[in-house]
Amino acid sequence: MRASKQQLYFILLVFSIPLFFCWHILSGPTALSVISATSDLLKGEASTQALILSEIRLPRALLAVCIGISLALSGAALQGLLINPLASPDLLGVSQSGVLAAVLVLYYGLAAVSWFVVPLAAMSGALIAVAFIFSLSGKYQGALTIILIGIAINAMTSAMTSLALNFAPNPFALQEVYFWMLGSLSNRSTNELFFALPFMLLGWVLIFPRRQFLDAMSLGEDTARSLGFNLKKQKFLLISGVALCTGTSVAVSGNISFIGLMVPHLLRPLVNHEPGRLLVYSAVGGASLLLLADTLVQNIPGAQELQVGVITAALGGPFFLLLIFKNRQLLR
Amino acid sequence: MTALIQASDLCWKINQSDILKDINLTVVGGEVLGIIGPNGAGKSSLLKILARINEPFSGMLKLQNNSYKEIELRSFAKQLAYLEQNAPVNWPLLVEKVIALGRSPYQHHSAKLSQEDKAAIDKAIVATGIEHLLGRVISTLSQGEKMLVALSRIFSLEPKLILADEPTAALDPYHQLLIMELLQQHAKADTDHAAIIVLHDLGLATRFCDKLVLMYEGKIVSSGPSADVLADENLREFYRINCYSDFQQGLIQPLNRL
Repeated sequence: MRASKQQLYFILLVFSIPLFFCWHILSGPTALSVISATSDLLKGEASTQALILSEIRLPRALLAVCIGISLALSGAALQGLLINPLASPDLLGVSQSGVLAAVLVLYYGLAAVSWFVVPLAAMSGALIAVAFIFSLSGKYQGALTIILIGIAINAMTSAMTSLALNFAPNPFALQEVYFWMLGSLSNRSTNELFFALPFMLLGWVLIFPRRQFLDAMSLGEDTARSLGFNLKKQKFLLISGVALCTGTSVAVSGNISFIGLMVPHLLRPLVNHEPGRLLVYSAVGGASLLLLADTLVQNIPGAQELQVGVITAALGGPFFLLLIFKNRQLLR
Repeated sequence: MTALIQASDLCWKINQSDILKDINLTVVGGEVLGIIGPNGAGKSSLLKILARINEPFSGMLKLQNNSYKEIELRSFAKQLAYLEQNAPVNWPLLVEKVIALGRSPYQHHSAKLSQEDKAAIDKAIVATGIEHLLGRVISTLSQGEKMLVALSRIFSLEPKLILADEPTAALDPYHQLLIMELLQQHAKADTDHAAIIVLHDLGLATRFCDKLVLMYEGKIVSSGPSADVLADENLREFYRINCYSDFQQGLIQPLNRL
């Protein structure tokens, strides 16, 4: 792809974010006049319109941006680190472990204690999974080992989640569990936003400076080491960042699949497949895609709002297949 | 002549089994050292330990009289370049990006290439004669072209030492000679330059290496000029082959198995 064309696509991608953001704010079950709501908000008037904007619409849109960035960034980082286009937080069982922890908390009724019990559990689940993968693979360090361990974890946690679902005491719990498995941004408040933001920021700060390392990893682990990178340290920082990003995302929105796998894949041609530059592009693309998906979810008519994870998977699958067919020579 | 690399009593194990035993080795400036030996003799393992990719179980390693452990990772990486077997590139990157990766010890924190980086990269591209490959995607190149790009990447670093693991494997004769000539030129370019090359081709080894080291089951069983190391009895004992050799001509041709 020509450099000028690549730039054009990236500029379009960047400008899609404010566009989708506005569309997202305007979407919802009740009509919202943004102008009157904003003026009420600025005047400090607690009108219904102002409350809808500040307590429902804005947090949800901002969460979509942050989670989109975090998931896509995690995917890009894992794919670069493991030198494998199949790697993503969903595939490695990181997201699924978070879901399992959340489901267990819901199952035992601990969720009633406080609003942050479920997110906290989900985050711990993801962190435990990452720590487990890292400690097991630490001795061998090979990318393939990490992926195989991830697949095993994914299978185990999925099975245990289904088991919990099977024993769910009432249909209401079943619905909650369903929410965690498919992922949704509905009914999120400023609480979740302020809970998630610091962890996500820390995750981004850990991942972004690893650009050069990820580029060097495209020559293989041995050569990356010979280029002066401390592999243990770099891997640890990167994987910690991924754990924070994925864990927090799962904690507030459940398992939104495909973003981490698909966004880096879609954007790789724009950066000539350079894993380092792909990080920034993926962050932008992730935010844009999740905003769009969550807007669509709210605009699709139906008795009940669709789960956003359904949309990301439905959008992602065909795109992903198309891309694989287009690039199969390059991917060998 | 001062020693560029000095290895003494190196041992290395995987799961309690010895891979390398009591390796002693010295490389002086301007030297091309060839490491030869049958498959599984420990040649690549030794090269990785010399390149500081793996740490030896015991023993001492020195680069210009400084112990490896005392040299900071990045400054070590600026002095010594490692060329992996087949020089894999795992993403379909552009040729110029692959070459620029050679400069990464100089730019761990900033992605921008400095003036010096660019000058070194241009020089390396001219030295390997691959101007016509710029703009191509690495996965579309032939094995010989890929190896030239890898060498260009190594040269862009401007290292003192180059450690290459079978750089001529799977190449046609033209590229085999070209790669070996480029490595030899680098070793002779300065008094603190040298090259250590793992080789299977005994002809190339006699022709291009100043000194050979023959490995067998993790040990160095013979070292010195090629005529001594590749003596008929060594070839019989460790390679289990008979060869026709003419060291004046730099010729060595395997004839039959024993």
